[in-house]
Amino acid sequence: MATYAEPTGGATAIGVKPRRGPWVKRIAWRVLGAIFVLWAAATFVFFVQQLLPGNQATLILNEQTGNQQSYTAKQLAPTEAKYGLDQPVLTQYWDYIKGLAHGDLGKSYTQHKSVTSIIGEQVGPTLVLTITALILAWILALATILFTSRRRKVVSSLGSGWEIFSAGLPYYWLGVILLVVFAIELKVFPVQGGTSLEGLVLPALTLAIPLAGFIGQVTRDEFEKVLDQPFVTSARARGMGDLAVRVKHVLRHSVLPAITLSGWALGALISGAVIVENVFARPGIGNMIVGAAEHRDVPLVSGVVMLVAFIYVISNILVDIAYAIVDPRLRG
Amino acid sequence: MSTTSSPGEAEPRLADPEKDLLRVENLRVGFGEKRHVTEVVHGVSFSLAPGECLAIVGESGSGKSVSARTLVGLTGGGSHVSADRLEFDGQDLLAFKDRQWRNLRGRDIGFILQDALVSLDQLRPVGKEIDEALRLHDWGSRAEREARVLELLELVGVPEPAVRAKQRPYELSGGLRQRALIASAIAMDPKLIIADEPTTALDMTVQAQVLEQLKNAKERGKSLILISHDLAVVSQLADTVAVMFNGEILEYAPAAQLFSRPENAYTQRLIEAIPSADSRGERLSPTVRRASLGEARAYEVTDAPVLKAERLFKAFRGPDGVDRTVVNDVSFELRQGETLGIVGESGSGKTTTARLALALLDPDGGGVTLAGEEWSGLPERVRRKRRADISVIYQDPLSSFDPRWSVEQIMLDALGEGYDTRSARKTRVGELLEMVGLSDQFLGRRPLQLSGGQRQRVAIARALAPQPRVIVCDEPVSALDVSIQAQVLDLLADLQDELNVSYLFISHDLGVIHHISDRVLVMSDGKVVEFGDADDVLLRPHHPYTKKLVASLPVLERPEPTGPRPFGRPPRRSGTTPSLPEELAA
Amino acid sequence: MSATPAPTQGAPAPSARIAVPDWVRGIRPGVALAGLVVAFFVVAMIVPSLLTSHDPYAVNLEETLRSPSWAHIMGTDQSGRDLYARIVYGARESLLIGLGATALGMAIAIVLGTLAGLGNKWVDGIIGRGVEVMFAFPILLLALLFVAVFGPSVTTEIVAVGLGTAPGYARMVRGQVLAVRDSGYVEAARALGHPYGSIVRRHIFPNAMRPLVVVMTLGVGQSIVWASGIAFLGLGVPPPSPEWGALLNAGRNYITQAWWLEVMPGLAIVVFSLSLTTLGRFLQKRLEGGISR
Repeated sequence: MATYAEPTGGATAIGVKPRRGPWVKRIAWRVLGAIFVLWAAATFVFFVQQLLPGNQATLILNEQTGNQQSYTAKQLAPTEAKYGLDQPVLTQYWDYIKGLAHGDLGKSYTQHKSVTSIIGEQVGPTLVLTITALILAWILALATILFTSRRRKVVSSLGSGWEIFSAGLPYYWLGVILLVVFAIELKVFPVQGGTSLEGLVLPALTLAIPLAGFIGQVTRDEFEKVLDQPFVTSARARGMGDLAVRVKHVLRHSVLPAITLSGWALGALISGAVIVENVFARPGIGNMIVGAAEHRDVPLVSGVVMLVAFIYVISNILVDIAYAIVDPRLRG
Repeated sequence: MSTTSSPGEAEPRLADPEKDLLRVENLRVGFGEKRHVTEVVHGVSFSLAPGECLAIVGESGSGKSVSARTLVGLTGGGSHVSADRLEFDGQDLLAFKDRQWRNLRGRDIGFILQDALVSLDQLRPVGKEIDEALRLHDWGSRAEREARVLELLELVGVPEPAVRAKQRPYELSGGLRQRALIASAIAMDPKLIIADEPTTALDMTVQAQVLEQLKNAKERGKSLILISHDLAVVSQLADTVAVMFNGEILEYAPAAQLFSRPENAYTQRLIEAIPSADSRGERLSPTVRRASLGEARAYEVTDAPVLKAERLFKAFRGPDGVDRTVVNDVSFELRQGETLGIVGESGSGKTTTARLALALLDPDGGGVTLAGEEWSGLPERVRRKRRADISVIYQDPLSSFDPRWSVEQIMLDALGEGYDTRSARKTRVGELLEMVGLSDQFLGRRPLQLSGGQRQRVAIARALAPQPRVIVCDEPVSALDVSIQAQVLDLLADLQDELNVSYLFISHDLGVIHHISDRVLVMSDGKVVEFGDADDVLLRPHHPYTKKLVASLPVLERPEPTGPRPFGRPPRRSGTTPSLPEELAA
Repeated sequence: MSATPAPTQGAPAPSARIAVPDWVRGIRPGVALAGLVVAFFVVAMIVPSLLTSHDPYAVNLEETLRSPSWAHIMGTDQSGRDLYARIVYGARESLLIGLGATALGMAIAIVLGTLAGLGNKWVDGIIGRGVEVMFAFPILLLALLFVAVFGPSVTTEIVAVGLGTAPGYARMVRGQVLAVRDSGYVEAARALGHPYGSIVRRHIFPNAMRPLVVVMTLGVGQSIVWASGIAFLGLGVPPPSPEWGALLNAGRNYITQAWWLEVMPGLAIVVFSLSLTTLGRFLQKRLEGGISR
């Protein structure tokens, strides 16, 4: 209820009512919400699988043998039994959810292994890549903001122009350019780096640069808004230097939207990793999943999708915690 | 306009300029890139002796704030400052480099601005903010600084300083966080304190506390520059006053002289424009009413209440899940042709009361009757037909207009039924705009193309369009400069004289309420603490809260009428003084 | 320090305010260039033969993998086809995929967002949860799942990108609707006694949907980027087509010998989407500022 003429531009500082409540209760709610999202995602994935055109067992046999033929019911029976396709749909659904709860993502159609173990073998390099990229993106974005935001006109427009440009760069194109320039022409980095440290540089940069642009855009808007806030003038009036004001006061207020973004970004980075791993022929789930999709290995693809959904909900809980650390108003 | 200040003429006070702490001569400030510099301060001069208080007064856009900020080098990017002389404590500020500015700020000059809720970092404990001022100037060891922070908080009257130092601004009450802000500005014991609108947007009682603290600082021998739009606030502290308008100082004189014998016409007008107990029944602005009423007719004044609220209750669920009673047993009656003022501080429930009266909210208990018939208890479908009887004017007219619509569309939309042809509707819109003093050249404008005063006039015209018996005015003048506020209050009074429309007038400003209301309702924490005739309640308050409120209102001692006044403060609807366009003051 | 503009500048004719020159003034060179780029690709989409004389499908084994030259400004591919001509002819399919995916995503978003914004807390809560679940599926992985289940096709590509972008738009639409619903002018309209349906039609819908024009402009570029990413992995439009993603996929095998096969189609995508972004931002400023002038 604002009954006074409020000072203009107090968007971040005023109007945000502290939300209170015991820590434990809030966390418990978050976890419940996360479980709901995972369950709903699993249900969606399961029923999309049911939409598969044609007979599932036929498809499996054809993909496994490389033939294109039809089979008799008798020939299909062992395959149906193996993958549980002879059960009623609801039973299959129940088994699927039960399996997920135990970390069992089903059996691969094309490789004779469980999906969980295949993903387990491949997930390491992908996580290394995405987390490196996330950290790199934050460093790039913050450095650009601190040194170009609200500077001389040329510098500021260069900074924001770069952010708009880089945020729109497709991973495949940026990856190819970096590959051609630094690996093929200049030979600074290996063309195929495997999981080595030199091999990480170009893929991580490819993932980080567009994300840095994105984080930068969001943060810059906020940063410039906060720079106009009276409390910043107060800090300057105490004798604080410009860079100190930016680092100690302004930054903390302006990273909040970008932190929210990072929770979503970790999921999106895995999406990007699919492309980047293919461009750089880097091992990982991204490389593996494209082949799986081509060979219609539905359980394997679904498994990766569920893994990403899991990472998404976990990173959102982490974001909530990070938020409360940066902004004590949200603490219980 | 004559200028009373010129640096050459010796002011009575400036007997010994060599001892002055601050000397500013012919200061000019402009903004913009290279060739497109717009000058906003056009050569102002002032000076300040140690231990004195200079107030710079003006409306928005007068350049008062910018002028003060040049003294700490905080005019911002793209600004160009020049002056014949800009000296503080014998140092030439014009030659200052970044490092010297940083040494000056906080150490020699303390700077206080606005509401602590926006001028202290919300994410840090207030103790840290005060400590920062010390640390930046390498004052003492960590332990010494810690002790000093507590000492400072105690100095500005914060109880339990050790506890408060660890709290963040939003965890403190309005008065306490404002004190913490002052503590952070005086931490290094600066010679000069600049306070830039230090009481704007604060509740009255908090405002009184801030002024008290500034007074204390002055008594401790500090020099003070006070920037404000509020002459009454200024009159509490200032030794000298500079009145600014459009980047120039129009009048510069010792406070006593300026308030009792203002020489400049603009200063006189500003003083006249302040609504208060004394101004009841008089005009605040020099404008003269010359509007025809068209087909509008006046309501008959009767003793029966046109709007009646009985034992209203309303609770909202807070973010913590606990219900908070915002309106607690509120009753009132409003007669035709009368103004009922509701006054209270922020969070007192006055806006919720207004929304209940408008039946935009349904009460949890009690009810409202309109023109003797049931109102709040009806279903919205039925109420809709009777909404023409009650309309509303908001504090922020801009947000109450659809940004895509022109003034004409806004007005046509508000007319309601009973007009056969399009041309009849258009004629009526023209009449309504004339009633509020706007010509039909405004028809094509969009809300953003209007000044603040014009917007509020359109809002009033819209409220009049359905020919209501009652208009609910929710802080209608709080966002306006004092001279525009005066015009709008005069307009409302004129319309009431002509139409006998009733106002439910909500404001946090005791002066405005006392000026315009016939009867007054004082609210605090959702409850009515006092209700009665305006003079009874505000001149002879009984309830302790009302007493505190009235005591916290800074009152400007009005100049005694000696001979004919320039505008003569004519009684309503008479006189022939030419009307001044509001742009002059905007 | 610029206050509201003076009532009438120069000529008192009120119509002068909406005259054309005002529109044109203030268009900076960057925006003009972006406009030209978009116009170029729109022409390519409708009548590609205007922009090139080469046949995008003509195989010429004499001139395989030629680097860019005056004869072939973007070089030739492994079958000697002119890459520039292929990019021009590929614009139609690429743009249609982008438009289709954006339209699908927007349609879902407008329905969900408006319902959530106008509905009671239960409707809002259920849709909000649903949107959060959709967020858990990144565009590309959704596409891979659909490809695995339904096989690769243009429809799969459009549906995946449309569904993948929908939750973001839905949240935006809901925010817009809520902001307008709680605005002062909606309350003012209620106080005037207008029925709710008419308020939704005359105030809430137009004001909430206005910013979406800009979002759509930005969205088409993003959709093309994602769709071509799917095709780049070989899961979209199959190779003989000159669709941009298909060109990227075809060029992957020649990356060490013929960089232009990857760089040029990618450049087309980047330039086009960047131009759309520039236009979108310009439009945004105009829409916001348009009210004030």
